[in-house]
Amino acid sequence: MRGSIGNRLRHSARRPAFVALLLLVGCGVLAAHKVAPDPTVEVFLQPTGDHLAVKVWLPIVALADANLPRTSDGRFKQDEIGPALEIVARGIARDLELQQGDVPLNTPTVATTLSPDESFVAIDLDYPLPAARTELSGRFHTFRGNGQIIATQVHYIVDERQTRTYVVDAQAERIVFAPGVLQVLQHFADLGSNVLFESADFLLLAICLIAVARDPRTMAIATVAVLAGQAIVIVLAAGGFIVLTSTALSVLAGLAASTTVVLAIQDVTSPQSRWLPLLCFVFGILSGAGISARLLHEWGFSGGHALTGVLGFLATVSIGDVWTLTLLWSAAGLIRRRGRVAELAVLSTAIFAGHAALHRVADQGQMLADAGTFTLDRFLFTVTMAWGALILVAGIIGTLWPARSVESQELGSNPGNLQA
Amino acid sequence: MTRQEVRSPGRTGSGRERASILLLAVLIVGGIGLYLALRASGNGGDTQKDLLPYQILARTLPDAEQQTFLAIRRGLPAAEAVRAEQSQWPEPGALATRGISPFAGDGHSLRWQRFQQGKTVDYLGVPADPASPAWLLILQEPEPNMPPDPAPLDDEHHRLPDGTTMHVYVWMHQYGGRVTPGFIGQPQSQGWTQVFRVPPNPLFLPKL
Repeated sequence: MRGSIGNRLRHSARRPAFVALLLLVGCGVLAAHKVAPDPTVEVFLQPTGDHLAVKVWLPIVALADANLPRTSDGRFKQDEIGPALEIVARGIARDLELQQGDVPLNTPTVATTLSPDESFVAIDLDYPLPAARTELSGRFHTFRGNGQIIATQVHYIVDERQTRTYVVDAQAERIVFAPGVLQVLQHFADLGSNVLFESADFLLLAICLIAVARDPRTMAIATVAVLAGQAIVIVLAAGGFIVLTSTALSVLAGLAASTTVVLAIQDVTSPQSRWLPLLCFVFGILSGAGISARLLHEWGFSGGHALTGVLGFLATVSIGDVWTLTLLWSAAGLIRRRGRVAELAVLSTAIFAGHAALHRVADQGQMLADAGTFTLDRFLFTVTMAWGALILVAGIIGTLWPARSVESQELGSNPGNLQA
Repeated sequence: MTRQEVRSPGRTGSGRERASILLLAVLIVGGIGLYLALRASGNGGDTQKDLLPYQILARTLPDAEQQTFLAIRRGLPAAEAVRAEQSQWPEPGALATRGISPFAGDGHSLRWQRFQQGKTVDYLGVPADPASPAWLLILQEPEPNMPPDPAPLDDEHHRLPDGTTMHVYVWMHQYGGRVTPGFIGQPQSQGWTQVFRVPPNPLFLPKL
């Protein structure tokens, strides 16, 4: 029974043991990845009257493949660089394959400009456009420099107030600048599924949620709390009410991971805590920031169907989250039925999830440190102290307003199903 | 004599377990089905993740380049047949005379040259238009006394009639006008991009 002296003693003994275990597992191998800003190729397209102006800004590193003529001291040969850049410019124009519907645009006029410090090349392409302008599209791809992929950012200037931005950082793709509803739905459902498979944050949280036997109602509330948090942030970000810098995203990602660490600790120390829904809601908000950043990264692809894009994305992510959680919960329930050892084995997954989440906190801290925002130590110290303060406040509230105790509750079908 | 009573879990317990297993099965099958449906309706996923920065899939290239890639692959068996017959790789001109594509092309196509170093033969196609891509077909036979290559036969691994397993690589240079004709030993370090029909088998990576 909750609140009994025996339980408290058990909890007080397990808490330091678990924290010590997490630290032992985590401290020895905590290492973060170095992240540095990457160069990008910028492409601007602006239809004006019967012309389409295309400007391509290329960092010179993206032209390593072009074997541009250089002198022995590494400078460009002034008498040869012009013709070489023209070949490059015409090659890029050829690769763009700009077309209206299925009809390729006529060959553009080409002009190139090398920046005085020889770090950038600007390519100006001018295409004649037919009077009836429909379904303008182009094929965009990444570049290669220093053995790395260089992403291409495409900016389609609709009018003075509206610019659609597309980021191509994987395989080449044809971008339709005025896509249909089905194209938008398909693109954002695909994006949602990518987010699900690439993001480990929710998976770690889900493991912590199923590590302890919780009744269906508690699980449903926790799931709804996560989804609600994510949905609120995604909708606000799509509406332009939230604009997050990369630094803010790193901080929030670190905090989201730290929420999972707290839940992992809670699994052992207080599995039926009444703060679980709030914790899940906070996780939803924090992780929703990163998810919404993925949405905004592809926002240009929504064209004039923003609502369809958001709904398709949100539905895919939510269904995927529910699917993941239900699958894990169901599997954990079946394993737990094998007995006490199996139950402990399932519980131990929270340790691994907590450990992985600790790594993610450290990774985000290192990213901030690399960007010169915080030092890693300061970030970890601040996050730890903030959580400590929150847990203290929760403890005070719990003491002043204790939860209603339930004298007798039916145990669920799973052994060890503790009820609050 | 002792009696041991064994209690059945009852209909409710077994029913619940059956429902859990069925739910699990439905979730797994449904999830995988949904994922496959999304992949099939989408662009086939981000296959670039399976490739190195200097590699690309042919289907992501412009149509004209895809056609050239296919022509190179289609013309390869004819070159292999000559190699088996005459014990040496034919000159591009000889293949062009026989009308074998892409060596026999029109005025807009590539000018082919053959270069050889040891057991490796390069067929280099430089475009008439310097803004078009250049192409490179590399045929690499094993050095003498090398152990047989265990790789299965595929786009990269061909078996000659004498039983020799050789490697076949197709490369493209986006800026054909910037290519200097000659034997190319390390194409990836000279701006070339390796082109695949399907992602390469990670167990048998190229040894260029």
